[in-house]
Amino acid sequence: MRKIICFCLLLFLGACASTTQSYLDNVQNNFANAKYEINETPVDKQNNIDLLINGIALFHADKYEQSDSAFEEFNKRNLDETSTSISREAAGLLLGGGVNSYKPYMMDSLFVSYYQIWDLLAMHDWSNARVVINQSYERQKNMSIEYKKMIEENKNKISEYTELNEFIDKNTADWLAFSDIMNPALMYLSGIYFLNDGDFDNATLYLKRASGMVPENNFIKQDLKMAEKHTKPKNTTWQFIETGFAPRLREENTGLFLPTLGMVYFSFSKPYLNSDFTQPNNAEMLANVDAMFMTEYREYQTNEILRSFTSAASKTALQASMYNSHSNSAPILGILSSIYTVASSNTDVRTWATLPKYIFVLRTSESSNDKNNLIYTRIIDGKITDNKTIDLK
Amino acid sequence: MKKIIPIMLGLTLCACGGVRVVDLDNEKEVAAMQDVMELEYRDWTNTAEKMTQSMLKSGAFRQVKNPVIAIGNIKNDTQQRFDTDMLTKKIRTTLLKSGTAQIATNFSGEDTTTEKMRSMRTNAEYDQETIAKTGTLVAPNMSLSGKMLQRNLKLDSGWFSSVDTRTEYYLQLTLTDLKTGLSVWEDEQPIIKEGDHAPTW
Repeated sequence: MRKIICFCLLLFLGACASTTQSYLDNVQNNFANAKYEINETPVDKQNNIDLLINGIALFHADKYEQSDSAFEEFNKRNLDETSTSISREAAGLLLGGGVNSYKPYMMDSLFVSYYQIWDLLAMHDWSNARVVINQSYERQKNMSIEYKKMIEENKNKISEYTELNEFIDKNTADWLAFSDIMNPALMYLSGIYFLNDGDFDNATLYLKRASGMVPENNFIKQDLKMAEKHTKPKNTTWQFIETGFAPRLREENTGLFLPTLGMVYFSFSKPYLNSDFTQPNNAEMLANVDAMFMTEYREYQTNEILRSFTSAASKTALQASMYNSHSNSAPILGILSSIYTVASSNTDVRTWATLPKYIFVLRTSESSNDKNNLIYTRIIDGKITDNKTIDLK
Repeated sequence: MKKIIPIMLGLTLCACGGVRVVDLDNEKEVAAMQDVMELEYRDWTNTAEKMTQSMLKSGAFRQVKNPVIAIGNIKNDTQQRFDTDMLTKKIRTTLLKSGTAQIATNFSGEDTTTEKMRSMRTNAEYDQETIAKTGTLVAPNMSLSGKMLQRNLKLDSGWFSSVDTRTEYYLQLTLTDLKTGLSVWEDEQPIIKEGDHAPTW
């Protein structure tokens, strides 16, 4: 009887991870078909992942003010984005990765700012767009400091576990990653804002940084030259083209033999690349979101695997002692420890699933066009799912 | 007695979650307002007051006959969203009350009725005697522009201290003589706050 209960519990709790995965699969399918289900729940009642998905759905549905409100709520709720790794791991250690509230990646916060700028420019709210640019600059500065700290801490932590270190290296060897937290698309969009605002000092600062992040991009270089010469571009259109979807996480299980406990099974999340690759004609690469994700994820995975492994090892010991006890309450204690083991082994596979895989940019000048424009284009599986033009002042 | 204690305790605890309306005419109450890292009522009021007094004492208005000010662009270069009118309204009110200067509300598009009324000059429904004649609008001869800046600095704080950030705000204002294009008055007022978390939303 005890084994049957345990088996049922395992099935029930295992279903939680697959529910999350199927929810995010469903969201991606809807976005691929330009179907945006708007969550009508007040923003202060929505969880982090819903705020992100709802914010971008509202943006695609041209409901810019509501989109900005959803993102603003997200910002208020995640003030200390640089302590993400610490809070993520503390909650994960107690409850398992997927049980706690979604702790956003640093990258999520930068994309929130990126879409907020689009929202505000679409509403011609130049004043608040500037505020959001200032906020994002401050965040990137803090994140960069925190990221370097995290790398150092992880190096020290993992140095004691040679086998785990090799396991992580093998898992992430094929991935391209940057050496710092960055979002070139956000930097370039901010540079374009200042260039059009006639604030050439700030335009130079932001465009220089964007160019440093994507040195092969010639469009950024053209704009940087103009900023340095204190010249506003005329009759120019910048088209930002987002393609595909960013990596998704799937739960994987593995076992490691310990002489004292036997086999210890633990779960971990593994990123899967989206194969959709669309290179728009004449456009140049602006942001490789796969690489942006891996830059951060590589460090979180070190923490996650360490946590999952040590936690599984200690719980295997706990479970064994409960089942083998001679007390009358041993059966129920054994069941309870099983529930705890399965629930807290659960890996967090949640990510902001609607983010693109790549962002390209196309810069064109036409004398027939009497003003500067920004165009936002979203392409999924070769199909245009969103295309909007914003007049710049 | 046994019954009274729980009732008193209940009342005390209920009082903790109540709403407190601050009486802005009571200086003590205003001074006792909870401190926040964001810009708030006292910051706007105090800064506007200092700026206006600086402007009035500078003698800038004596350089222009019948000063009429157009409120120009006050740029919000901080990391917080706010309407810069919260600042300029207080400055305008004080200037108007002092009788030193007037504010041109039509020039910056703030008041649209002035223009709308003039568009009724050919409308037979209106008594034309009540419509303003041409050449009656007064153009501004001065403009007020400025910027609000924010800098966040990390502080070395103790293990148990919640103060880890200093946020510095700077309000910069310039009064320009529109005839000459020269600045006749400028000032900067800093607002410095220390606490937990710089406002970045």
